[in-house]
Amino acid sequence: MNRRQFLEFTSLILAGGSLSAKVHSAEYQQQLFTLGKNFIEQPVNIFTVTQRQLVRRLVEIIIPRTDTPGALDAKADHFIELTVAHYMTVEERKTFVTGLNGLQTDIDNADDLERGDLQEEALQGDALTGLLIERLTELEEQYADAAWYQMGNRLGNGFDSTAPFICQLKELTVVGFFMSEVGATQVLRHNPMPGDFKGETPLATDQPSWSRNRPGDLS
Amino acid sequence: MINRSYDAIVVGSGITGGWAAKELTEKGLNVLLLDRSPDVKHGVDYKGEHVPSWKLPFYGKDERQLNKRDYFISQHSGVMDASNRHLFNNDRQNPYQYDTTKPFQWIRGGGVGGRSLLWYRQCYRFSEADFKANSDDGHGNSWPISYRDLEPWYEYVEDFIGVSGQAEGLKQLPDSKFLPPMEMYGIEKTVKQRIEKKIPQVTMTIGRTAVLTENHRGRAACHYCGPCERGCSTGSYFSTQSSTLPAARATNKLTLRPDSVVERLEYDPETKKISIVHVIDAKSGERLQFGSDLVFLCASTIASTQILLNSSSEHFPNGMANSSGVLGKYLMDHTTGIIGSAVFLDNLDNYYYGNRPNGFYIPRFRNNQKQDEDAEFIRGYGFQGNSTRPHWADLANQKGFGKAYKDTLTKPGNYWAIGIAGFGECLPHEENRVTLDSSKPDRFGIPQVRVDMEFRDNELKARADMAVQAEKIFRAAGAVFYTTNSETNPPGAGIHEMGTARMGDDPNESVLNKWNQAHDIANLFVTDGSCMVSSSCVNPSLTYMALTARACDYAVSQLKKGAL
Repeated sequence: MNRRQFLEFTSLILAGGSLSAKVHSAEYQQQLFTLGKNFIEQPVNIFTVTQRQLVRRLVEIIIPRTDTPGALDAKADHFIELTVAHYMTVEERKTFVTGLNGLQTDIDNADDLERGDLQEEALQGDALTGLLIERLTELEEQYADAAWYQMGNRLGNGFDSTAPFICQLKELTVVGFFMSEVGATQVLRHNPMPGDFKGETPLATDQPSWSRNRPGDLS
Repeated sequence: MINRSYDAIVVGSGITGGWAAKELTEKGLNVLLLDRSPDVKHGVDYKGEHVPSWKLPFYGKDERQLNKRDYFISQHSGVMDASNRHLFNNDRQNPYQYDTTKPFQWIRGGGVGGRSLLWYRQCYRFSEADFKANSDDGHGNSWPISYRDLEPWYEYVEDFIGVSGQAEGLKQLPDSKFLPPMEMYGIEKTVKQRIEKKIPQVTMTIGRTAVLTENHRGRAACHYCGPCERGCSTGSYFSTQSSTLPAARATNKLTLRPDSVVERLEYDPETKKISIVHVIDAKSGERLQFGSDLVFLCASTIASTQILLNSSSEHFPNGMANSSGVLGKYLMDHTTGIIGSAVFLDNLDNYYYGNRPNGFYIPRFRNNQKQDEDAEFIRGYGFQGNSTRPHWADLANQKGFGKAYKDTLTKPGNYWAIGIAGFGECLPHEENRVTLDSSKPDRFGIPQVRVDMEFRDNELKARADMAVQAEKIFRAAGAVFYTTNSETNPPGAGIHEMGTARMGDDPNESVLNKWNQAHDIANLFVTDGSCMVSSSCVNPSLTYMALTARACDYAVSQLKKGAL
């Protein structure tokens, strides 16, 4: 970590703590429901421009746009920034930012990347994406045998403070995507008012799951 | 000044308080219904109802900072999030005491309607054997009533609340008056068939639940949106707001007073009755006094016990109506917790439509009629289960990213999972008790409750047996993979706390008589869970309702005879 990154890192950790009280207040929540705004419409500004661009890249690598919308369409990157700013503890935020800055260092040290690569609109198939996929794969390999990749997880039950960066990133991308309006309605099947219950219906192989009310719902 | 405008005062507006208000007003009494919490208006105050995931803070992930500070007990309910947090007790504002080495989770509602808005709605009758259990094996006091005494009242409340379920003709789980049952998942039908063929003493039935499967008494059938605990403006599940409160209001004889904390009851030794109910207005702090012919305590087991304990007087130095000395003792709760989960590769071409707010039930199959030879415990337990076709959240923790990862997470997982939770009967132990800690007054100056409770040998042995039997059931059911676990959640977590002002024929051994009337005080009735003598292993709310309706009938008949 260089001096610039260290300073950004420190200010980011401090900034997060002071913003949290507002978001967690009862007034904020009351307003949220009565105005009917999407959570994702809350502004947040905790990442640096570079960090934000990197997170955009990462979420799109994890859940890309295919014939259906991807993580960027669902603003999962913004969800992550909100979560890092207002949800994570200081320790968790430290894990996340350290991980993110580690990837940035890899990018900075890579010989074959142009300075402007991060700003490019083309998000798939370029050299930077190739590098990040390589790095994410390496990070995952470190935890391949750990409990993180066994059946059953903690998506609905808070957030595990010991989760390594790669798991934080994947979990928040997944939640930020499948619980978003775009993910729930355009990728999953959303039916808020079924009007009936049938326990046995045919399942076609290409049928998406129903959307969920909460990350932890049984069904 | 004492306000004497009411014939009856009901303390608490949850499941039993709502019933008392309904029954007493319908029988012609002017009723004051008090609740310590703020009002929750049907429909309009269900502010999280039908709110989609993307409008919830952090898309509904647990808000740890807020929960840790204010809802550190309520969060254990498992159904609280930003959408319904306002319906839960604020644990910082309303604390209680327990030894941290013996945790007790007192999970409370935080609004009018109490836990009737938040319950899991399972409805099971106690059986004939349940009412005889204590006298048969000598643990605890005898019930002063039998199944036969309560049977018509079960039917009476079922007819009003609407209980969907499947009649099975089981002795250990009498059938209710049912609305049509909810359907089982395909995998559950498969599993049921296999289990009942290989282990004939095990029955698997759909959960019996106070959720309407057809329109009923002016309330609409369930629309299967899923999270009932956010409140239901169509009144499709039983709650005070959807059912008993409208009935009571229709009589024009009900006054509901929210934000009214009952501090204590005052006894008049001359009339030998409760003469005054002392109330603190939670908002203004104002102290108020109400008098009435009849007082019904329905504040929930621990809260009603707290009021009685805090109502000591010269005449009742150890707590109101406590000449027996048993008030606060014999606290029970069911042992609870996931006893096992299993994976099945059957019915994979099956999916489902709608969100079923209900699971399946495996009624007690151990120690039925007589003690099983291989059972190292007495009494029994039931299993409540549910099935899930894995979604993205169940599948997320696997390696990989990109298109393949997205596709895998988007579609239902290639297996069905079934989880079962065990609900075990808890014996009444004198040492499991509620007392007052006068060194720790709450924000109203009322001594906090201290709860001392542990599950003991019999409960834990039954728990161990649950894991053994669950394994047999999973094998018979054709699971390809399963895990079992015999640990229990801490006491309180079952949210079936009961027994601290038990009924009984002997005034030296019990607080209440067979009509839920205090032995010591003719105009005092207690009809919430505190009246329970034994716990059975089934969910108790239906029994509380039946006991309440029965007690109201008796109280009004006595009042009209001038016998109170």
